Amino acid sequence: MEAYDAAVIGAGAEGLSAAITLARAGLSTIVLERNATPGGRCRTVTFHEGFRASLFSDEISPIPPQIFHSLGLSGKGVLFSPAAATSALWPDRRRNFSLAERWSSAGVLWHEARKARSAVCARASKVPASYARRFFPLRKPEPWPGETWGEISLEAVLRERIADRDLCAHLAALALEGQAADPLLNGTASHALVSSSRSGVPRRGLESLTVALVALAQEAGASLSCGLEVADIRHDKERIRGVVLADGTEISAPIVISTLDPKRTFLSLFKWESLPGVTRERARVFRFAGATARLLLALERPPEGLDPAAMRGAISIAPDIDGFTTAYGAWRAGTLPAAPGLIVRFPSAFDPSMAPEGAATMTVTVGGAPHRFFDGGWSHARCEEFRKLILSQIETVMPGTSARVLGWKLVVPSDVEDALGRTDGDLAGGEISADQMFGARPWAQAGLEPPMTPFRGLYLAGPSTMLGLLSTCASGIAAANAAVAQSGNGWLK
Amino acid sequence: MTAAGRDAIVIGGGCAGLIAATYLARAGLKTTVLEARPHAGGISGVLSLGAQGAGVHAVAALDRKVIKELSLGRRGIKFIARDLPLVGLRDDGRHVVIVRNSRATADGIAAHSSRDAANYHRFRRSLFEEARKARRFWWRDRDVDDANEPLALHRLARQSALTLLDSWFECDAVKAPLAFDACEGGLSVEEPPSALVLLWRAAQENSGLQAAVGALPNSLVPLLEERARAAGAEIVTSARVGRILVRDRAVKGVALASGAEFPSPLVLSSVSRPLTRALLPPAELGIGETLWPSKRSVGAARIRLVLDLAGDTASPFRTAARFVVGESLETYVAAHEAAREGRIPPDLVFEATGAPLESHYELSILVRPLPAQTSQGWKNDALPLLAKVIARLSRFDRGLKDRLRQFRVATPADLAAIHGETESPIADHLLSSTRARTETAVDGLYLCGTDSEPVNLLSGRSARRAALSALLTHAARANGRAA
Repeated sequence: MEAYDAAVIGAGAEGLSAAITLARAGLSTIVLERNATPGGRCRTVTFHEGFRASLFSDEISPIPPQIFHSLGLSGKGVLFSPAAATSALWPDRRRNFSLAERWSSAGVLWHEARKARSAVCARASKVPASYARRFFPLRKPEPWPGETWGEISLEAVLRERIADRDLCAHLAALALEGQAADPLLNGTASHALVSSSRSGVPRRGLESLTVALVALAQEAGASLSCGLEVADIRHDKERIRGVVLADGTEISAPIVISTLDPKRTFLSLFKWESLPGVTRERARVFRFAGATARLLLALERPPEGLDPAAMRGAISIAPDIDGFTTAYGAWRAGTLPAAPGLIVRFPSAFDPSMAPEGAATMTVTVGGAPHRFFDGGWSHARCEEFRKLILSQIETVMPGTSARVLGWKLVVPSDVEDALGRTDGDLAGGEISADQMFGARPWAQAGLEPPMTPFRGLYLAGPSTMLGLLSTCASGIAAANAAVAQSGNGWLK
Repeated sequence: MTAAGRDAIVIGGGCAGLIAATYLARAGLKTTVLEARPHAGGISGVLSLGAQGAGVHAVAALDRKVIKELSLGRRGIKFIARDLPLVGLRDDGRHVVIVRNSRATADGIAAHSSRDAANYHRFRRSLFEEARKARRFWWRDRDVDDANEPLALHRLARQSALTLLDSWFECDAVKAPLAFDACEGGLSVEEPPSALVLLWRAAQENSGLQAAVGALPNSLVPLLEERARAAGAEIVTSARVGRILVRDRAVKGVALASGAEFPSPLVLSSVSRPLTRALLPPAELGIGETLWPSKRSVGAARIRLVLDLAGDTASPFRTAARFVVGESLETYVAAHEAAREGRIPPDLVFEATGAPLESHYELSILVRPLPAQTSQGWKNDALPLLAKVIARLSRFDRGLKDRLRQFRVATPADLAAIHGETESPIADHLLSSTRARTETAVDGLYLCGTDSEPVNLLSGRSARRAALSALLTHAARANGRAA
């Protein structure tokens, strides 16, 4: 039996940054990854000879600047290109929008969302004081910044601030990138809060972030174990003792940080009967809404007639608010939407190493792809049908694109689930809805604010926590900080 | 009546307007009710069946205090049935009956799912406990400070009925009938704060008047009209208000569409908030005005059916009950989506409150969600809708068509024409105090219609509250003048 001070489940950006923090605090740490290589969603692949693209997303939520520096990412050559202007294409018109201008109506909204987001992050990264409040829960919790956004509809938020309907539709498309939601329903405004976080594309794809984090973790002295899944978490009553790997290896560790979602953490790594009833029930009802599909395309030449500046930013394809309603209905019913929301990016436009000379890499992020169909899973025929549907939609605004396709790769929600272990293939780590946000993400029990859990020594990180949804690396570091602080004050003895 | 002598004007002679006018007139204010239609009664008037339709009113909410203070009880309002069982009609005939006694309910549910039967009692107890705490917050006359606001209000304000019911029950047969009440105000069961609306309904039920059926010698409208006149209020019909006159942010009276002016220092509007806003001069518009109108407009239709008494013992439509037709929560979601897109849902969801009277059986039906407008216009779609409802009901009682004697239909367009399109900031409404809902930015202008209620149902509470606020203002002004 190996003994460590801390074990981290999952070697994604969150897991690795947690390991770096723990190891730097002098704890012997091991990171346990199921896949053969670390990286999680930050993975870049060569999907066609000479064409590279990040598999699950092009942009990630920003890494807060202080974390970026304290981790030392800049020293490892991680470089984010700033978010460029975005544009929208319709069959009959095209428009470029700048979101950076503070005085524009869209800029005001953007700024508002950004402010609320950083306030939420600041609050969520605070190290939870102690367990004392567990017995004296506050009568009324402090409201979270931006909480009221969880009660209104995305369309109402846009309508109140912006008169330009094209811009409204475009902003809705950006907010709902890779998601399935009806902007007319109450509570969908939280999407605007979350999506505004997506900014900046790293050079050489998201892989560069993984490489840097792995190097930093090894420098700090953390060990990394790949290829073996964690099968069980050992505990004596509510005190964590360690983990068991799939091959039976036992690793003793008084601190375990899980970057898995609460469903996987609690319902698959614990025995159900050993869980407190409330925890089991909450984990059971936590909802996921996997809806993201990605189509990576290797193009012989970039499409004509596109402004080079527009190619450096996200392009929404024929956004239309009613279209999201229809797509959401189809997604909910478990069928392919006729016109899913599409966001196109050209990673090769700002990083020539992603495609051969003169060619272009194009990625399409699709929202509203069902995780399961009403009559079964994703089959080869379904994937073909879906790919043709996406291409035909792109053809309406960028004619001649499909004739230039040299190679492609399609990622559907079930692939995400297989590769990343996200329940229902939900990249956002849980449905973005008012009752699953802020303190309720994954949930706050009396006195137990995330990242704490009802088990002493078990901490949650990853996208299912509020911090993980809004920023990268921060939730891992918050969990590690909480663990270090609480092992320091003797709580974990 | 001379202009100088008038103290208050009530816009709209619906039930809420008449209640407010009665309170004002009784306090000695010279009050005029202005009703745009040739007869008073608002929505209740449209559905009235004349002399023959003696009338069952499914009174979901009318406050006991109001009934008592206006002595409606002595004047003939009579409850023929209280605590109506909620019956979820199922196509397979295994109807789910939810009654006040939770043990009896659980026994009935057990036929569908034993887990749900075990959970039902806990669900009900937890909902009612929260409702009891929240009731103090909703029913009070005074403002309560925020610190005393029940926690559940905020939690449920962000939850949808769908997730709430899903977390308790597994079986559609149980979830579907419980979900109907959550769709108040054009909400979909899958959006917040529909869970809060369920809590509000539980609070109503707690206070004892959930779905009582009132049988009135005439109907509620003539009775209220009579009470208002007896108190000394003047009711002017066929008087459509065109403008509310405002000077220096204080109300000065109203002007009719015909041009006649009615000066008055107090105006109570029983039409909806947007319609009231439209009557104000542009400079007085409140903040939060939207630049373009919302696309989502979901409405409801009301239908009244008069049936012969059933000879057939198998028919569910024999006893007094509240029937809900809707297979599952998915049906609700699909119906709401269709309504948002302007189509009549292929699978209708509706509630039918039925009660046997001496000579006939009456069903008062609420169909929702429906599109506020259809492509052909509601004039053409009203009868197909009625046919659809009757066909759906006939699945549970084959002889229903032969028993049908009379019907009345009020489409979403009719309802909107009467009290204006309602906006649905229902979360704000449920979380704000009665005072915030009834008062406006304009001095002397109060809202007293269903739009000022937490939920779009007539309880009379807001009308009473608005009348009291107006009286206080009146008294303060009189004191000021005297000083």
